[in-house]
Amino acid sequence: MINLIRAEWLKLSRRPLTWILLSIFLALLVLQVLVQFALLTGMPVQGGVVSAQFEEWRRGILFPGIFATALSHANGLGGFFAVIFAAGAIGSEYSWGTLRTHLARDPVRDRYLLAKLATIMIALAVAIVLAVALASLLGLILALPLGAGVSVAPGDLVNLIVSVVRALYVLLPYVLLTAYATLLTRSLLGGVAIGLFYIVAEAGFGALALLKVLGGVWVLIYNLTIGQNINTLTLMNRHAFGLRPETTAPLDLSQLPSPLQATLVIGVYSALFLFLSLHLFRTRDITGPG
Amino acid sequence: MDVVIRTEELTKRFGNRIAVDHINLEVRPGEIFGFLGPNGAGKTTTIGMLLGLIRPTSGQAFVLGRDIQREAATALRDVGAMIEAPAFYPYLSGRDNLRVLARAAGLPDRCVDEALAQVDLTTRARDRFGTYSQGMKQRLGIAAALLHKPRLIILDEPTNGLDPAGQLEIRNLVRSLSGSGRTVFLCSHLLHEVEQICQRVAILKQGRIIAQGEVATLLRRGVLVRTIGERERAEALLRSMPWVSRISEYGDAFLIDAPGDRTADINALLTSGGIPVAEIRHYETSLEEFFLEVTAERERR
Repeated sequence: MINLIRAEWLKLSRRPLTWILLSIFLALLVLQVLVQFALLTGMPVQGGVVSAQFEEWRRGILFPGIFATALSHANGLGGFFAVIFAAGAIGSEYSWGTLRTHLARDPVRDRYLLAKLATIMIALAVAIVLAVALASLLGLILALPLGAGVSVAPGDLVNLIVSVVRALYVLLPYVLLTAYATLLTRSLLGGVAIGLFYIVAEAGFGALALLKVLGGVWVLIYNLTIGQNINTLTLMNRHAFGLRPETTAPLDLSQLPSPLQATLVIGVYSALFLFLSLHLFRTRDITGPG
Repeated sequence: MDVVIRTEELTKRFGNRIAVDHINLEVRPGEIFGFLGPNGAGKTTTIGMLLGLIRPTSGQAFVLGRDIQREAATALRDVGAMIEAPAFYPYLSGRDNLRVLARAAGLPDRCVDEALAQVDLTTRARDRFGTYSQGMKQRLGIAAALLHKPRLIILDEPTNGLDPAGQLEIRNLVRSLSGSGRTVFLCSHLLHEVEQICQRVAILKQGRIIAQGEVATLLRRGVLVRTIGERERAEALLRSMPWVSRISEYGDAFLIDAPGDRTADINALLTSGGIPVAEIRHYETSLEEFFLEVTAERERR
């Protein structure tokens, strides 16, 4: 397994797509932080909600809130990048015909797919850590013009480790869904299309929130969607570093699933997508490219 | 081990289409076995089943004594294969492509350099695979098959895209592999190539094996005779001889299935019968002629 992960890492780390996605992902993070900074310094502060929003932005670009900004970026736009990255890592093996080259040498398909998925998650973990590092650098630079101090408590560092793991866990069902879709369609584009469609549809699924007013089974359905449970985990990451999005957005914290439920539901979805992927990959013939 | 590859009634259906139809193959240790057939005959599907990539609909395949459906990992540990066009990552160099395979198999980089040297690709090893010519891609595919020094090497059209000098090199390489005790299963449509290097062949047509055996015994040997007129009388005379097993027309000549040392007897028989002989010589059909003959026979049936 370790050998396979090393082989996968060599492939992914040398692939131009990996570096292009990482560059865009990090560039958008820099853009987000700079826009927040520009808004903070360029717009007149008003009272009420706008003032609260300004305060939230300010906390988001200073320590330790900058950590939450980076992690929130990873779980927001990062989801799109994770889908493209995962579909690319799996789908290209079909289009280039390299899957046959590998499996003709090592036919244990479960091991091959698990190594590939593990490598994708390792690469995503590296991307999240790089995002946190870059955001920290920006936080250091921007603290000066904002006249703020730079203080990170040991507790913040512990929180950071837990939050990075949590951010990675949030990406897991999207990666596994994309893996399944890519294997199903045997193509990169199929995986990207289905993975991104799900993310977009899930955002649209927010409309289901309206169904909550009907009560009963509708509340249950809504609370079992991936998006709703992920909201709990991403909110935990924000709270861990002092951000309070509920003060600026219409968020009813009492309606969110508990952290335990969120962790379990995400785990169940991930396990389901993993099982489907392994079953499909194990039972299908591997024929020519395309 | 008596056989390196053995299939028993191996069959693959894709929906209603039978790609491979109850084939029984036997490849012996140390030989170069030619696997022939027109496009779409089922050669690559058969290789796919031998490598565990395609699940047979029925029948069994044994590679290096192991049932490929139950013990694929153990069986394929000692198998190197290049299937159809060599498939590698276009953005990686030739060397890095082999390093990926070597890492996955837990092999040191030394094996990569040895394999590259074996196919004479060392000087271009650091160039991207996407920039390689077809011939270089083929060489890299062969290098990948040789990477872990397997006992059985399956090569699907290994000389595709190579110039004559490159083809000769690969043929020599295949011979040397066989010379070092390895078994080579060679899939090719270049019949003269197969004829030159293979000891035994199997010919596949529409998923069925229509001929299998040693090249030497499959090829027809005899005596070619061209007379000046008098064809019917010459044929009747020859048919009366007990050592003539078959006479067939071959253009304006006869092809006589008879021992080669009967050439003088045939000449004496015809001239004593007053039939002028324009040409008389030993004859051996090429694999190409044999292939065309058996595939056409199959078509007629």
